[in-house]
Amino acid sequence: MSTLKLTIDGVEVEVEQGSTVLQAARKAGIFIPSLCAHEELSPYGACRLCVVQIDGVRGTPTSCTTPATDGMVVHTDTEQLQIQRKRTLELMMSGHPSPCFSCDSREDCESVKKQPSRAGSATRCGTCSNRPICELRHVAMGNFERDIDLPLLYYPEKVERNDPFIDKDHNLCVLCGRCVRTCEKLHTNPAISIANRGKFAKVSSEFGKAWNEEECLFCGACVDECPTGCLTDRWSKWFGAPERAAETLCSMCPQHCKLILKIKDGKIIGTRAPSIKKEDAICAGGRFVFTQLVNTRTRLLRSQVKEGREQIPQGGEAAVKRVSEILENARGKILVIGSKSAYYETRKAMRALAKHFGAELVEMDYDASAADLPPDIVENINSGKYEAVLSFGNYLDEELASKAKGLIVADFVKTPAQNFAEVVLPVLIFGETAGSLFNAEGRKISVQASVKTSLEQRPMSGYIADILKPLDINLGEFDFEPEKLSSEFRSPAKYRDALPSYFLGHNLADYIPDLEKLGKKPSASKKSWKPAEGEGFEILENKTLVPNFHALKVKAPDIARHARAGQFAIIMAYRNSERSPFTLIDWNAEEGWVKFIIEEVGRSSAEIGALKAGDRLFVVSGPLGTPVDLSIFKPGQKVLLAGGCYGIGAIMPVARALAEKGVETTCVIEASSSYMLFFKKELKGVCKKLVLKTRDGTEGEKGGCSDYIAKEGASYDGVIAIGCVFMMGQCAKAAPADESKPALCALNPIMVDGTGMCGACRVSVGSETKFACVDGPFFDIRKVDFAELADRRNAYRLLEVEAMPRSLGCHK
Amino acid sequence: MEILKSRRRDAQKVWKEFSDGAKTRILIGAATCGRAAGALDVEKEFAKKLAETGLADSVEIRQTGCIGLCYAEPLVEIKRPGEPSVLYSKVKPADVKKLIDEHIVGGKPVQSKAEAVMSDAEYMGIKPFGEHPMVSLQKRIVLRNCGIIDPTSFEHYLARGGYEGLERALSMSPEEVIKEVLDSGLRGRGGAGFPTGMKWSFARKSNSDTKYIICNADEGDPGAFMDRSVLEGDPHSVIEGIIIAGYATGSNHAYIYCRSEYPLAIERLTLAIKQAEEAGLLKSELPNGFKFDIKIKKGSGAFVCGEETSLMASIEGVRAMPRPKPPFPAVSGLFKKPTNINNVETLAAVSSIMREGAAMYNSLGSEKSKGTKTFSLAGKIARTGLIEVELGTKLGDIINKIGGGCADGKHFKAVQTGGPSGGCLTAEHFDLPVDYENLAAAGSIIGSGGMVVMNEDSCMVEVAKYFVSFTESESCGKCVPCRMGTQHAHKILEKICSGKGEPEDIERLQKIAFTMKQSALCGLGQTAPNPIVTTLRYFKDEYIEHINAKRCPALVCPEMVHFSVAADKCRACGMCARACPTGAASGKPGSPYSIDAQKCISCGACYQACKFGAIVRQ
Repeated sequence: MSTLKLTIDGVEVEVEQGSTVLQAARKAGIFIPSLCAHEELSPYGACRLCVVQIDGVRGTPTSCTTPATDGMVVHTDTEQLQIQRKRTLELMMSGHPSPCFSCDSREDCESVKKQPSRAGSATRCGTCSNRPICELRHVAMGNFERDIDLPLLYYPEKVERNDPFIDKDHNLCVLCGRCVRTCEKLHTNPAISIANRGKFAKVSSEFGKAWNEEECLFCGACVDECPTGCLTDRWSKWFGAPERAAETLCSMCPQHCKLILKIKDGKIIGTRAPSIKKEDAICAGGRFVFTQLVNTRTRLLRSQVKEGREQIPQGGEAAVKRVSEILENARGKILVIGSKSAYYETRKAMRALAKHFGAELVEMDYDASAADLPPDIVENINSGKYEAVLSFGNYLDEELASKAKGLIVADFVKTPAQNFAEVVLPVLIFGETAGSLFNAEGRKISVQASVKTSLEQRPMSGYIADILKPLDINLGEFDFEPEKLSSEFRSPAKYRDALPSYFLGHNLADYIPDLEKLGKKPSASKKSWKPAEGEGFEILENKTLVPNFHALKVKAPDIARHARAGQFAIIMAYRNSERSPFTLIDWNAEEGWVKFIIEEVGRSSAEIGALKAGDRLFVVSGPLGTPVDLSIFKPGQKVLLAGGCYGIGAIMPVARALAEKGVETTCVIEASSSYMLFFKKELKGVCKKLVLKTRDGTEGEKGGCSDYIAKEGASYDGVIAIGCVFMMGQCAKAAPADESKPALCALNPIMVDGTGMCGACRVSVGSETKFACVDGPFFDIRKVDFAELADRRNAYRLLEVEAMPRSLGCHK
Repeated sequence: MEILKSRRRDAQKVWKEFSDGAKTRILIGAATCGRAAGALDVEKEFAKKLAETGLADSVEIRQTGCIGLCYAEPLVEIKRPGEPSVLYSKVKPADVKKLIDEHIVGGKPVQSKAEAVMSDAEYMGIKPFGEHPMVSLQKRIVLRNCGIIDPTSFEHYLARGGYEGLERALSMSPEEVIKEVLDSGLRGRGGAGFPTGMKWSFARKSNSDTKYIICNADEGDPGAFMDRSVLEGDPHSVIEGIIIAGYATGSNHAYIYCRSEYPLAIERLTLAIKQAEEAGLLKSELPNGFKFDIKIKKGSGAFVCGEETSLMASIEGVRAMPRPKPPFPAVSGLFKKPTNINNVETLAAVSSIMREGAAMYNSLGSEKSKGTKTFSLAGKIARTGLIEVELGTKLGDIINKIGGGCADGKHFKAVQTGGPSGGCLTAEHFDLPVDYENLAAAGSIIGSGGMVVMNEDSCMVEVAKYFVSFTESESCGKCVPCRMGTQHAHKILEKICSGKGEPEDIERLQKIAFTMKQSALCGLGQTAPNPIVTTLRYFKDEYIEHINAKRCPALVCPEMVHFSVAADKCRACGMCARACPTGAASGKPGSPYSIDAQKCISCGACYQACKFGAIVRQ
């Protein structure tokens, strides 16, 4: 191909004919900010960030859409272009929840909160799952400046969680069109396009239907190409940025598609297609089911060997020894059930094993379940023909398993049928282990083990090799010709109804509830906790105040009767929920109700937030904690109350109690942006003066409560600050040094019992160790070790991510 | 052309019969504007009354297009054999009997209703149409047949020189045709003003077995109706232009992209295409082996479809969003084939240029803007309607002489030219020659030719808000500057209009406008801030008054206007109370009424309703 030369910012670049100016600039190592441009997608020209000036060309064309021509002279960084980019970026960010960008404390805050809090919807970078990998953030970082000073446009109703696997928060969308172009490129019948005009324009399927009602194959490519957190993988989004990638093949169907694994902390946290080329397209199984299956909470981790009537973990070696014994004793009367989806090495080893022990080998097909076991085999098991049965996968249902003699099950998840086994072997699946598979052309492809084995999990071929090792068998004799891809084969990457329902005999819908939305039926309905009549605490009202913040009114007459300002209660949504403390905001002894502010930050709060009026909470225990000591303030004195996020609600009872006592209060409240401020009217009713602070300056003064404390704090007779650890830490630094005046905070460490028994809520105050639940929650803000508190709160970060309720609120 | 020879002979006969026949003829102006004013009721009444008087067989009723005097609709022409045709204005069904009795039967035109006579000489004291104040300064080339012929008659068009331009073009080489159009100086009448001949030459040079001509009939500016009138009143002039364009560029197919809000235009076009096909002009091989066809594609009224790349996307059946150029349509357009897009008026002008020659057209207009341009006059002007003038005509002549100044003796404040993409001009521009260069220099554009006049009762901030709200809702949403810029500009203007404006808002608007103009993807976004920029340029004091004094000088913005009753003028008639939607205006017979400021929403209904000027706005 012929080349041409052009000059960009004084640098001469030689590029191929047909290159764009942007491509030429990249080749020359000149950075031009861009978002909608993508190497593998057609030029689009929507984000308008990559504007340049070209000698002899009118206006400021976008470099991503302008073909480079010979002799062209391009300028990428003139003053006018800088102004245009700055303002275009501000316009873009004005429709994106971006208060974190205008917050002066962003860097400090993010150094304390190293990962975004796992909120229901992203109201800012700090609650956005995409923060660690966000391209928009990358482009905006360092370039974002409020020049026009525009208000933020945020619409809570733009969050959609009605589809399987994919969360859509259209507030975050910048309409770069990458998802749409990706879908158009990959699929003959693209599922999504941009619907509506102007401010109503959004990525949508036909007539705004759920994507699963449309052509969408849930290949997830749109999610992978989204430069913002608009389209996210609901299950894996909170894990953050992967540390490395590895290539593997999927073995859920005979297509054996190539997948790229995203790996972090030795875990597979996601997959994606190798490219956005039609021939590389994958299905929902490869993109979503794969990862969720590998990370199933009921993964088998240890070998079990039956001793008497009980299965006992005995370690891998003992288990293999026992298997060998069983097989040796049952020689000639053995059934081996394998799977065609297994690696070639496993299948070869199973052939060798069957030959050596004179066993009957049945290889189950892809997508086969226990119901597909040949009738004669079932009959033989029932009639006790076999002395031993070795099943790789879940091919014997409970009833059949109970009849099988010498049952050995190798599997990756726990099943009820395994209770009848003599030996249970935990196996590795997919890219967790090395092996080889055949691609669609019949070529053998080796797959590397991409993650570390946990506990006693091993590849199936490894177990068999151990059994066969002492027997001196030449595996080479058992090479076989693998099945060719049938001409009738329908690839799930092209046909949604071809999506497999089973893997190694397991019904996928049992493990991945989202599959129900794609028409897959779970084997049996899951039992969820339903409170019996009269059990639990009835929710009278659940009102969303601002995104992620719920005002929860609960019927709890006993608590209402005893509650005092500053106390909290422990709430559990379900029987198996975490116990989490929530401040009592308001209560009415006569009517028997109490109120909480629930801020969604993780599993427990999200579970509570998802409940509706009429639902019941499993536990509400309280009032707990020491009420705020009101005796330290005298009538006529002036007290400053500072509240941030949930703290806006938490200062409410204190303000009320002080007002009743005749103490004059000023409430200063802060939120990231105007659309996150709440309780303005309520607080005005109980305080003398209300001061509003927003981190991005969109309402009230720009900044946080600590700014006000630093400026005015000394003129008050006392200060109480309640909010997140970062906010209280900032307030602590700003608090008046005069120790004769009280300066308090209310701490929110992890708690379990809330009665001083477990010690989880240990905090360092001055030189003393205190229990926040009984000694607190109120402490002298000047003496609290906030760094330690932040560390302790982060202790269960990974577990918290793993525990996230992935399908909450999505299956209405 | 052989195929038209015999048709032309017939056509002359038909036209003679129509224009000067032996029967009395009633001609109803039944374009959309006339219909909206009740022309069809008038037509029905004529038919009914003629039947009653036994004249049905001796009098013929025909329809025609819009002659341009929209303010005077319904317009009816009555012509008795051997006498000139008299044009009557504002004809109501109630007038019909008198017109029949006195003019048709009695032979005496009804002077009180007569607007003009359709001849060169005065007739019974009625001035000729050519001397009508709205007409005398016009130069009608594109509109020459509108309101004159029956648009459903192929013969009428032929008889008035129709398809002579095509015949002449086909006798030339395509390159010669392009040169002729270049020489005429014709520039794109859709708004951009790009030389038409040059555009054609680009399409001509593109090599492809398939090329397309698109006629852009997606007229979307509020207050613009030039294209509609041409399509309704003289559809063949557009079809002839399209065929000539097709021949010159070497195209084989054409689409007319017309909004479905123009049902009559689509009906007329459909018929005209059928007639042209039957005449062998379309779908048949013409001399030189040229074969061509035209299809109509109905749009559903998205402003952005006026932008050529969106329009092509819409024809292709995908979402209408502009795409970046290059590639230009002349290289890769509709279905990725070379495509030439012209506006309705441009193509209609081509027919005349090819018929009369480039020199005729080039002799008209100003130095760089040749020929004529149609304008629609709308808003608070005395004579609303459709006009065609030479480019370079002074703005003041258009507004005051042709348009008759503001209605009801109010003071002229500004005129918005070019629709939402244009800007406003003031009385200080009355001496400005209206052409592409001069309007651009004044911060506005000719655009497709809409002129919306504002008087002293118009709040210019509110006007800017209106146009921005239009572009906000019509923005496709693709590019950031347009999608977000229109939203914020609209919000800021709303804020100013509701008395909450801050001094910084003016700078904010200017910054947004700059960003949109420089950075937006397509013409819609780049020009959307023009109404803001020009109102800020010429009426900044009104913005400042809104922001600093919290006062709307034109007393338009509801939140800054207060209504009360002047007791000395109130006659306690109760009209204000009846008009008031909130019950704020109330009172009892005998004593002056009052307005409860708490309940008042400043809608102005009482102000409109009061006949005694007793409602005070301040």
